Amino acid sequence: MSKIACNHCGLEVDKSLLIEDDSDTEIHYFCCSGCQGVYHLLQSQGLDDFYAKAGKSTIRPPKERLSDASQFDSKSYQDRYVSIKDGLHEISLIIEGIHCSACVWLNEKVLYSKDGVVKAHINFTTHKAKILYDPDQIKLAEVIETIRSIGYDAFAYDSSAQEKKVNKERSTYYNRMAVAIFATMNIMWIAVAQYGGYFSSMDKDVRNMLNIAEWILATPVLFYSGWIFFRGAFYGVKNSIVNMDVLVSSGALLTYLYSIYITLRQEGEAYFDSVAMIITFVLIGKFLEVLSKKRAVDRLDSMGNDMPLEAQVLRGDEFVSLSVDKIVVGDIVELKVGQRASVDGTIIKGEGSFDEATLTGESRSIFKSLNSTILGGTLLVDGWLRYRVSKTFNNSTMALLLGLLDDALEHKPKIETLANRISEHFSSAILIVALLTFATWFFWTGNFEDSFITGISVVIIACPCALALATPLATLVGLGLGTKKGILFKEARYLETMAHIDTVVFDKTGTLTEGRPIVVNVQKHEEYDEQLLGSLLSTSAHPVSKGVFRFLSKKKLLDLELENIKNTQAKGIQAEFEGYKLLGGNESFLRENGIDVISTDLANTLFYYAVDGKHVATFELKDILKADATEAVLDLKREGKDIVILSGDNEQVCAEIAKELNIDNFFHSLTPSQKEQAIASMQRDSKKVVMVGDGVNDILALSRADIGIAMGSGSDVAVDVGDVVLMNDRLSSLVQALSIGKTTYSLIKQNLAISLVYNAITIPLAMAGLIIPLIAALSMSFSSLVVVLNSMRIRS
Amino acid sequence: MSVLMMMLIVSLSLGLAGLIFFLWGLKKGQFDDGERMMNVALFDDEDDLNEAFKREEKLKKVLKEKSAEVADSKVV
Repeated sequence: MSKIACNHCGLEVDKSLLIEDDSDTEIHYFCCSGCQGVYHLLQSQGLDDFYAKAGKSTIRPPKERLSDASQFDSKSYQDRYVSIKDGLHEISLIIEGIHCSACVWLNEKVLYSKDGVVKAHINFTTHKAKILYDPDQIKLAEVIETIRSIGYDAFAYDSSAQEKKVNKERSTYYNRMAVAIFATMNIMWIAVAQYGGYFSSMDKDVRNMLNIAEWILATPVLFYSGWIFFRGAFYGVKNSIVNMDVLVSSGALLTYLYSIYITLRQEGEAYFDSVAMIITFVLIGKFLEVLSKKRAVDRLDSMGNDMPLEAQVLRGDEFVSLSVDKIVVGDIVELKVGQRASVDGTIIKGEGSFDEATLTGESRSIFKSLNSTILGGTLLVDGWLRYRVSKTFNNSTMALLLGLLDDALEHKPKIETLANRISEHFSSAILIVALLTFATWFFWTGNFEDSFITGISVVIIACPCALALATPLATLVGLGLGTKKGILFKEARYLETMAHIDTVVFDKTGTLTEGRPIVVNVQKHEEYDEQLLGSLLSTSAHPVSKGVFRFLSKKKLLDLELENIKNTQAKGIQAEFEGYKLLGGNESFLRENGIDVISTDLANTLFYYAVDGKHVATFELKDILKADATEAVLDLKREGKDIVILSGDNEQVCAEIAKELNIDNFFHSLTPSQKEQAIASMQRDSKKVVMVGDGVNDILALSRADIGIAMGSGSDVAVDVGDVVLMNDRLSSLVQALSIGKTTYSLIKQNLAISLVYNAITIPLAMAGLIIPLIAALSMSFSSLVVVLNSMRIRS
Repeated sequence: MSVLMMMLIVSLSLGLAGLIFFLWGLKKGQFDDGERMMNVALFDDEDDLNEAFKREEKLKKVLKEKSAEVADSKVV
């Protein structure tokens, strides 16, 4: 059979399976009706250019979608995502399904063709769109429907003020760098002529003219591009700190003024090229730092992913969707399977099992019935219930927890970076040495001008280029290494902090363990059909049933049609199949149904299965250790790190895991804030603590620790709060992260040593007044180059 | 000497013009999106340019209507 490509998406399918469409003059083939629909839509709007533009790239066939777009017009959605500008609405969307530039072109084109859409800009790289529309002419739901109609999907995201601020900061850096690099490059070719002239005796007029050209070029570099350093120096001096900025700005400014003096006097050597080079190099170093800065945690954003925006609230006789902040104490809220409770309350009707892992870290789900307390942020895994609200949204457990986050972040210790510490001493030392040089020369020679120039030459030659580049270059290498191994360092300075860590604290559930029950033992009492059990289990969403189901689905399972399925909350399930009576659940569920349960010596969570009133099998489930946990803990111990477990789970489970991993130090049944306290007390004993966690219950501890490491698959809030993210969830990456930190730190030390050695050689020469301009320029570039090369060495 | 001066002035002002256009592009967000920059050559035939012009006209028109509305509401 021949294969033919779908005329829309380019998917190659057997000809017999394709839809033949002869509504046009020629026959077209489509893989599905979705593609057919989109194709005709594009034809009718004259957008068939798309296929030429897309070329050979294949796109995804449009998905059938069930959810309607009307929710986008709800008030709470609008309030959150839409911003208003001059009477126009602006929304930020993430568009799914974009594969090539033609997709972007098509989306923009289709959006613009709608009345009321005045601006649609889609970013090629991030697939984020900014759409400006007139709310009187078009509704948001219509905008999203338009995108969906051509086979893509869109959802809104909160483009926070933080994001804009970071972008703005970057763009000013780009501007300053563009000016600095342009001017410096031009100064350099002029400087080449001057150095040439220095040896072959250039005409005085010519040299003077070149000096003036350099002067003009160096001015914007110093005062526009270098503005950042003047500002930094100002704040430094105000707080009586002699920082690097003081040295850079005073050095550059003195050199600049001295060069003007030389130019006007028309004698001696001007150093405009040094001014421009210092500013440009240090600016680049600073830019590299800004580039790797962590985006501050946007609480609202992270909350949105874990918390529902709306809840079903009783108003009059019926339940209506209401924005969570409109719920008041005493309201009655309905909760169905798979929904997250948004506010705290007490159950008044119904029952169900809750997954509270996000708040407590407890791995087993908890059964709750009449009068039990419900916590906001917990997930109903089975059952149905109504509860009376006892706290408003802002006072609910989850919201309070996130409120505490600010506090914890504020108390995060900041270990000062080595380069900062050195540069502080270095800067003051250089200024003092320069002053002493001037004083000594003046004392010996009595010539003010010569002494002044020698003093300045010390500042000039103590070029901080290499020093300023030492750390950014090393951390850049470290970040690159991390990315290759699936370790995301959110800010460069954590690389350095990583090298000082002596204590590693683990959360248990989801970090050391898999975070879900897994079958570890099976007792078969009689033969039974696994296909039937599989079908029975697939009807339940309870974690235990899912655990057994996953165990069975290692073999191929059929989906059999069961009858009379009955799901008893938190107890078990029963169903019938061709006369067989199937029953699965906990021990009491089987007893209640009059089945003799065969006793067992298995511990942990048990799942019993019975067919036709006979108990045929027992499954033991346990939250087991991750595959590489033992090895990772062993590696950490070998490196002399203290290891501690902080868990919200009960004592028995924790003790077992701690024993398996051979960890003596473990704390159990902790609340999120107790975890934070535990870490704070370790820090009071002057320990440098790394916290590894994944859940919402870990976020306080993560933000309090010197470094918080989040698992990539963990909750979004944890990933947001974490300073380092292990994208592959492997604990062996943790060990690698520590070793990358160490490597980077030693690289930083090497780079700093190189620049200091350079200064140790050249500064005495400058003090003796022996520096000639060519040597100054060459040695300056040379020291920076050595630092760059030394950093590149590690890359491989 | 004067030749040298002229050369300096001409070459530096040429370079300056380039810098100014670069900064202008930066400000207009032309370099915000690396992918778009690489692909933009595919989308600059006559139709696309006309389209871009129409889009700007549309934006201006709507903004004008809006500001007129605001003015009206103030009068009322």
